[in-house]
Amino acid sequence: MSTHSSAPIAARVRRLETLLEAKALITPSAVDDAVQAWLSSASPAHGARAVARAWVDAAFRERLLTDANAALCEIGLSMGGGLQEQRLKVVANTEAAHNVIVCSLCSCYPLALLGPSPTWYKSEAYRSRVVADPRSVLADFGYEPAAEVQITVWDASAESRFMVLPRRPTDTEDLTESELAGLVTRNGLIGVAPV
Amino acid sequence: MTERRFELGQQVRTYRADPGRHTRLPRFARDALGTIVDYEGEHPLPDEQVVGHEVVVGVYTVAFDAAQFFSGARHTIALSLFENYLEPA
Repeated sequence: MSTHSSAPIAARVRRLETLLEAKALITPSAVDDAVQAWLSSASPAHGARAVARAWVDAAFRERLLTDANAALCEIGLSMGGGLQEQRLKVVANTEAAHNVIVCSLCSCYPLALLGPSPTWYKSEAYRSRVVADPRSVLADFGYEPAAEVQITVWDASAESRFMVLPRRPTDTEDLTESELAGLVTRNGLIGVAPV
Repeated sequence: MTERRFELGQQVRTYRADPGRHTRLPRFARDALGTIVDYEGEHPLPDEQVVGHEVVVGVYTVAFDAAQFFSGARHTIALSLFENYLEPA
């Protein structure tokens, strides 16, 4: 299995960085600084906050599912931070339907809301197996939805990014919105596990 | 904004040919029947962008019965596809 650092594209990027530095077009730390600035504003706590709001506010939930980018603005979040704002589509789990996200072609991921993606998300094993047999991948994560649950795999093959709105756990009526956000896991937002 | 080529709920078929260069239609999803479930706006077509041309086209979310690709599968695969990869079924 190839990794990011051994991939041909990584070698090309390193070579390009070296040339840009040699020609004094960028300073040696410019790329690192830009990446750090982007990552510091990206965290799964953002996705968790959007989910918790949707759990306590049905109208927000509806807006999050129909126009996620606009709904994020309402709570001070955005899919910007990269070169351009990316379109986000939020897909809701229900009793009858479960969603899971992947990028089968590369490693597209809603970074602004979930932070840097886990290594397994970028692995060829996950990217190929979840498309062909999502139930076996979910089982690896310890989750076995009932046979009648319809599973949809959302493959971010173009410009949109997908995020899962997990089901609210039972017996959480007494929790505050921020306590609810604390229950939301990164795996839940990817859809490989319930919350 | 150009006119949309496909409507929500419309049946479409993905193209069959291997373009022989960069494309964002996954190999497993060639020559497959799907249903338009969402419109994602207009974006530069990567197949042309990679050779230096800016061609902006519509992108659609298309849902496929995964059993077309993987025998015994009982799930749905939703892909974001540029309209150039699609034709009415």
